[in-house]
Amino acid sequence: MAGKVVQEDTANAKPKAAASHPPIITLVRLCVAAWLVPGLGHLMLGRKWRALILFATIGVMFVLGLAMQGQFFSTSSGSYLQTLGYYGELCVGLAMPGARFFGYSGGDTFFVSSDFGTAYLVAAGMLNVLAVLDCYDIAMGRKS
Amino acid sequence: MTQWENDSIIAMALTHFPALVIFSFLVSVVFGVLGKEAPRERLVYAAKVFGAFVGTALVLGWLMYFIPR
Repeated sequence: MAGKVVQEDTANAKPKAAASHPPIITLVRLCVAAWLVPGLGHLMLGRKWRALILFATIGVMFVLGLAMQGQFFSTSSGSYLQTLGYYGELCVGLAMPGARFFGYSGGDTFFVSSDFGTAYLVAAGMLNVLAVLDCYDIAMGRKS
Repeated sequence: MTQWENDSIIAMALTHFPALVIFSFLVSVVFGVLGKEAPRERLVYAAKVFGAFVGTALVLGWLMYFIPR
């Protein structure tokens, strides 16, 4: 008896949960916005303070990475680690092509803080991935 | 050599410990914001993550100090 009730509840719950999800195009737009500019996805969802904190924190981390002459990786080296590093840095969105546009040539590996800077750049990208996932969870109703 | 690299104001040299502390602070702020919902919970969680980052690095650093080269 109780098993039947549970089965009926789950059967009813599935269409409700599916109906509450936003359309896939909205989710894609949200995630792309969150990737391009840290915090923009949260801003679109109305989480202004969270958006501001994410933008400031990830932005500061990226700028400090640039200031410490962190290295921009490329996919042309043939090294898997460098390729991974490239995608890690690319996760921060528009900041990487933006820095290149404003004349940052990809860091000076002989500079004393260059290794720290590279770690900051990659970590900024990874934190932005977490922000994108958080944005997705909020849009799906899994988080508030 | 671009103008960016020539500019000594932008190039910032940090030693290990300040680099560690700044890195830990920024990461723990993001972890706190994303990991918890209530403001107080966020603060406590961020403080714990920060302490864990710095504490672990100090402990590992001292352990390595005693390992002969």
